[in-house]
Amino acid sequence: MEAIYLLTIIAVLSPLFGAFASLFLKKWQTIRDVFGVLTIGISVIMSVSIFIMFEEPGSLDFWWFNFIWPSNLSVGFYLDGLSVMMLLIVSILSMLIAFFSLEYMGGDKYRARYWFFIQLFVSGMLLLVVAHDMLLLFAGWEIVGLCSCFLIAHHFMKEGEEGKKPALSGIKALIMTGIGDIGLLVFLAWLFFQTNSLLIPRTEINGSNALMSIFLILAPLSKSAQFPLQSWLSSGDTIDIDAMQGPTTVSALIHAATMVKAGVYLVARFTPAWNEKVFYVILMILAGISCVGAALGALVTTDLKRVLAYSTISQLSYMFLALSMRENEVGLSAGELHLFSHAIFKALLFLSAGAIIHSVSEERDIKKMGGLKTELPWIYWFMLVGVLGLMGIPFITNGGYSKELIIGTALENGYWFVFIITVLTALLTALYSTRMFLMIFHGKNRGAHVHKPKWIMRTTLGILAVLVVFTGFTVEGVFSEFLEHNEKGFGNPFHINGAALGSALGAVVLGIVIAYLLYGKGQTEVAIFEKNKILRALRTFVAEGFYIDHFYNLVFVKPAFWIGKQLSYLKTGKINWNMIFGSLVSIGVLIITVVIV
Amino acid sequence: MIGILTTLITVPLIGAIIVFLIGTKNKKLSRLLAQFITFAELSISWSLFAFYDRINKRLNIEDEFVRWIDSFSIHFSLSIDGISFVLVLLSTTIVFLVALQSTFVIEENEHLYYTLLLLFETGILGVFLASNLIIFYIFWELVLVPMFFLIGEWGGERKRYAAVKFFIFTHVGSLFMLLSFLYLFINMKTFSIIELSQKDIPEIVQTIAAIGIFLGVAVKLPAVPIHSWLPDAHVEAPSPVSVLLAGLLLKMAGYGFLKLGLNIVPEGIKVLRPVLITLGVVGAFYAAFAAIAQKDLKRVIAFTSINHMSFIMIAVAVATPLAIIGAVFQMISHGIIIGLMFFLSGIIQHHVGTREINLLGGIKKKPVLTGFLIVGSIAAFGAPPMSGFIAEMMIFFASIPVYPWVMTVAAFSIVITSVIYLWLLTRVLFTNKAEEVVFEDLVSHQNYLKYELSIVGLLFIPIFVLGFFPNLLVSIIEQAVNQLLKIIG
Repeated sequence: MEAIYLLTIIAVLSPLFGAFASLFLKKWQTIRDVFGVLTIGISVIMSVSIFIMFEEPGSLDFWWFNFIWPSNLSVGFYLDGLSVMMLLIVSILSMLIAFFSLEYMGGDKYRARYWFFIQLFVSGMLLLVVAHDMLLLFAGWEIVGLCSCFLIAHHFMKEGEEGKKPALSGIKALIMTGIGDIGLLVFLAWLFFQTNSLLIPRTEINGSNALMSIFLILAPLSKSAQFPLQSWLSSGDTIDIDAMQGPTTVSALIHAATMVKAGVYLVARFTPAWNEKVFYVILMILAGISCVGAALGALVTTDLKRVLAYSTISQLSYMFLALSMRENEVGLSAGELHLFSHAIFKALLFLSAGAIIHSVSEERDIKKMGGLKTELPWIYWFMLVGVLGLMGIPFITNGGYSKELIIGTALENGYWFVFIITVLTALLTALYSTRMFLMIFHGKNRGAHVHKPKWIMRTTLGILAVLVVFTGFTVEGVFSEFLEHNEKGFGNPFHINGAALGSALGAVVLGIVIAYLLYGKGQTEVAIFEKNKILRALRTFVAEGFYIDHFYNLVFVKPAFWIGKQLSYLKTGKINWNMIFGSLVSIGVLIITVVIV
Repeated sequence: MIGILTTLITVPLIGAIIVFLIGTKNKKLSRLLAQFITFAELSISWSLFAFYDRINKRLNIEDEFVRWIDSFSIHFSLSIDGISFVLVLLSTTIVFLVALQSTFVIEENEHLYYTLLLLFETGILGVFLASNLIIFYIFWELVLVPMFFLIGEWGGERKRYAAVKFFIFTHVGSLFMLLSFLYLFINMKTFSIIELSQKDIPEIVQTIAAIGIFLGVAVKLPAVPIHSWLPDAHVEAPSPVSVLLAGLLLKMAGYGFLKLGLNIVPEGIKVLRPVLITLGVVGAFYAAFAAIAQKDLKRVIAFTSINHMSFIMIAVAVATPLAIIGAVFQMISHGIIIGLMFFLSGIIQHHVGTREINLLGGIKKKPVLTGFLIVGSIAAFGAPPMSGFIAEMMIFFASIPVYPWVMTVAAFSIVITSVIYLWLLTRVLFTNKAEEVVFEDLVSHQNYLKYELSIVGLLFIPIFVLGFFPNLLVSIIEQAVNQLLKIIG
């Protein structure tokens, strides 16, 4: 066994070991917390060493078990540029966020649970990105989903009705991502039947078809929260049951930097093998809808975390849009590059939000903040870097490079739909991020009590801010390194397209200017929205998450509980003959259907 | 010829008599003796590994055969293959744990209880080992009797109702099975399972026999329109008996499908395929939906158990090696996991005094119990890296290519199952309600909570081991599955 795979195994197993070991450290709470950071730290060391030692793509397969006579099933690890990049991002950001939570979660009574699931999550995520076969990938996929569910539900011990929301949010996340799991499961079964192997295909699969495309697409849509399965990540304002109910560090790690990227990673992995036009067209349309829709959502909501959640959805759509331009290899690389930079600046933004929320005693409404610049100067500057990255200011932030590449690719290859969507969203992004930033830091304080964060938080934010700028400068060198080590399918995207740069920059500047005019003096509302009825109704429509949750509630949740309730009456032992007759007839009909199908 | 298999069956039978006789004098001694006998059974069954041939992947144990009624070819004959071997291991293990656990639960008429428990063990091992239809039927019915009394005597409020319902349902089903055995005998002139499986039975005979076998087996599984005895029996039975019921008795049905259905009348099963697959899918959904709104912890678990067993019916309909391996894997893994869940619900019932989900808020102050409940639930809805995950994956991987549409729909019941368990955990654990009543009761019994939990905790070992190393099980049953499906190789 080559040493590099040994390192990979250690990187995956170290947090797993840590998770279970931390259960036995309940008497020494501080040690357990630091221990949690250290086990993830080992993964970081391993990932960095893998990055340094890495030479060419390769895999290590184990024989696992006789899955079906006569062929054997092997599972294993696979390393190429993409997985090494994901390894680095996941482990480094996880460690930074875990370090941050030493202070952020320091006062939480139930943090034993938190540390257990965080470490388990990191292990699952690393497994997902280095898996060579679909079975391990699926296992990792399920593990991160479960951990996400439990971590969202972390605050269920809140008083009164507030305690219900986190628990429900966790279940909601599990159901909605569960739909994607089923899609993936069906796809895997089909793939196994078709190729008689579970290894992730590197070359084109025979017999790809439209139906399987739909199942395959369910997985990234649900995990990466794209329309119409986005509402587990950020729901309507009045419903308020979404992933943002978890601790902010969880939102930063799982719902911004790593887990939601799993969908993008899956599509990137399958792009070389899946040559079905329908797949990419559907992906492009849905990502286009989510891209603009989520940006609009971020524009109207006043919950700080929800603004960021919406912007995550919108930025993930950028990646999908880039990946959907698959005839062009550069698009693939641009999407992956945006994944890379988004992970970093979104982690920075979420952690800054966490630091702010922590400082103003768990207040999440940006309408009640304002004027925090004087009291939280450090966070002001760090968050500014994050916001610039999100807007995609070229040359000084990493977000600029990747976003311009996507827009440039769309322009050069004649994807006008993608071009218009991305430029429009760039404008909206600049608008909502400036609005958020101004409402938090400028104007007068509207009643938030501030106690300042300590060094752990500031250090973490500082490191991330430096990373945002640094990976921007060095992007070409570092990212080319990854690209060289990919087998194929990825092209070198690095060049500057003047028209794309100009239009993107123009959109961003326009957005900033408009936002400044509207919110520059500490306003919290825009006057015209208060006066005009139609505009107000529109705003409510968007703020309610386009009423998608209400729709799901009506169509799926309520009927399911209704059926369940009706069935629960059956236990009395009284027999209703009509019902028996009805059920026998319907079973008969079903049998006939099965025979025909 | 009498050998180790006969010993395996007769030891608990003789033990039952001795336990009963001693029990009239000294109840505690009889309990200890019964526990010792179940332990002896456990040791004997695990020692069968000595006969396991690693290279040919089969057990080198000869069939045991005693002539009985020649003119009707009814002979006392036993045989063992990979599938029955793993089920025997499961049975002896579960019965042993149940015998230990019962110490804390059963207080009245202990000696009778343990006598019946040992009788049950004889019956269930007999079913898994018999290789003559009549012997099979005798053991099959023998299981019913102790079960009837175990539910009817030591159960909850409506125990008589539940016990009678259980008996009538399963007994009527068994009668159909007996009829189809006789029908097979009339046509083929033999009751021997091995001979029957090698003969060329005409398709029409196979179909008629398959219908009878299906009725007898489907009641036990249980398939959906005839399932209603199961939730009642579970709710009323004391928790160790629930474990026997879900962990072992339902496995008789799965085994029956394989050993009688696919082995003897494969063509008949082929004809019944649409019925099997429809009832499987309907069952999976029915059980999932029915479990959503239940208020009793045990009833929720009972319904999800129906959901899991439905997949076995689907696997039988698909009948590829992968599907059958998946079905056996599902039987073993479900036996362990659902046994674990029923043990836990019993512990909760016993220490808290109620299983009403909305009243259980206080148990989250017991960290180990809470942890077991969470991990058990996760295992029960089939998440990696536990054994349930592997089993469901195998069944789905085998069946989706054969029935793409139906199975895609069925796959969504997995999501519903996971929701049921999380919704259960949410109401029990992830809630800020802490009921004081509940909590006081916990303290008074605390002294032996840890023994109960350590018995139950043993079950986590196979769940994880099989999840990580499924081949331990697959390699044992592989050969038997190929033989069953008559694949040479």
